[in-house]
Amino acid sequence: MIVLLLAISIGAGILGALFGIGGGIIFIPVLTIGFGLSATEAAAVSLVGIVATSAGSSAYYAEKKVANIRLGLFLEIGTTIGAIVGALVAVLIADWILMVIFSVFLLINAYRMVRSKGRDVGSPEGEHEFWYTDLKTGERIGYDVQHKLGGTLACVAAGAYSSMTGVGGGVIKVPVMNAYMGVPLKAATATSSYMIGITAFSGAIVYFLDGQILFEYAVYVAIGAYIGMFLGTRLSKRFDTSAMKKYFAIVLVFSAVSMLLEAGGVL
Amino acid sequence: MDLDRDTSMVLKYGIAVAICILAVGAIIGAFDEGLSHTVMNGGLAVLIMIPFLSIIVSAVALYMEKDRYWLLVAIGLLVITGAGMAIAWYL
Repeated sequence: MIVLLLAISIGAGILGALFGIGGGIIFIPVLTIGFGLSATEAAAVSLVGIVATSAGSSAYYAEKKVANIRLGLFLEIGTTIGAIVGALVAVLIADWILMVIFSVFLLINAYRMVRSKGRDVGSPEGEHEFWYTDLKTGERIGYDVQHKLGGTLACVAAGAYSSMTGVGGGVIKVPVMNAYMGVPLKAATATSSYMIGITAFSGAIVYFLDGQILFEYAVYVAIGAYIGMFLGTRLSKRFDTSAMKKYFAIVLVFSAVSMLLEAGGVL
Repeated sequence: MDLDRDTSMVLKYGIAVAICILAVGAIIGAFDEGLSHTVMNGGLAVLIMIPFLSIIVSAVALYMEKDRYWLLVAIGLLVITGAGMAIAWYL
C-alpha cells in the first residue's frame, strides 16, 4: 500500500509541478475508489498533498522568477473569498451543477489551447508590467495582465469549487490567467503552483485542527508529492510552450471528463 | 530583501523541514506508535503552515521594497485568510 501510494503521489507531484495543479484530481479518486477513504478523508489527505506540491514547485519557480508572486497574492484574495462562500453555500447549490459548468469551461479552454497552435501571449520586446524567464530558451518574456476584475471573479468561482471538492483549482486558474488575463502559459502554471498552496492551506488547517487528517496516508502523499514536484520542475525545462499547450489540453479534458463522471454519479 | 528570492526560501526550507520531520515520524512508527503520531502531527503542522508563512514573508519583502500597492494586497490576503480560518473553525 505504501509503495502504491508513494508512486501515485510522485505522479501527481510531477503533473502538479508541470501544469500548476495540485494533484487533487488524481488524489481524490485514487484515495476514494482505490483505498476506500470517505470523501472527507480523501479531501483532507489531498489538501496535504497539494500543499506539498505547491510549496516545492513554487519555491523553484519563484527562485527562477517564472512565478508572478504579486499576481498570485492578488488573485488569491478572490479565491479565498470564493472558498469561504463555497463552504457556506455548498448546501444551496447542487454539486453537479457546478461540475457541469466547470467541465464545459475546461473543454472550451482545451479546444482553444489546441487551436492556438503554440502561439502564446507575451513579448521579449517593449515595456511590460511583468517579466518572466522561459527556462527552456533562457529568454525574458514581458507581458501585461488584463481583465484583473474578471480574473478575480473567475478565481472566486475556482475557490468555491476548491472548497467543495478538495482540489486546488489549478485547472481553472491556469486557463483563466493564460487565455483571459494575458499571462503566458509557463508563467501562468508557475503562478498557479504558488496560488493553490494558499487555497489548500485554508482547507487543510481546518481538517488538521479537527483531527481529520489520516497520518498513515498524508505522510506518504506528502513525501511522494515532494519527490514528484522535484522531478516535475526539472522536466519543465524540456518543454516548449507548444508542447505544454497540447499536454495541458489533455489534462483539461481528463479533468472535465472526471467532473462529468462525478456529476453523473459514476465516480 | 527580494520578494521572489525570500518567498522561494521560506517555501523551499519550510517544505524540506516538514518532509524531514514526517519521514522521521514514519520511521519512528516502527518502534513507538504514540511518539510517531506526535512527530508526524508536528510535521503536518509545519507543512500546512508553509503557504501562510510565505504570505507573511511576501508582505515583509514588499514592505522593505516600499511597494505599497502590492503590500496592501498581501495584507488584505492575510486578513481574508485569517477570517476564513476563523469562520471555518467556528462553523
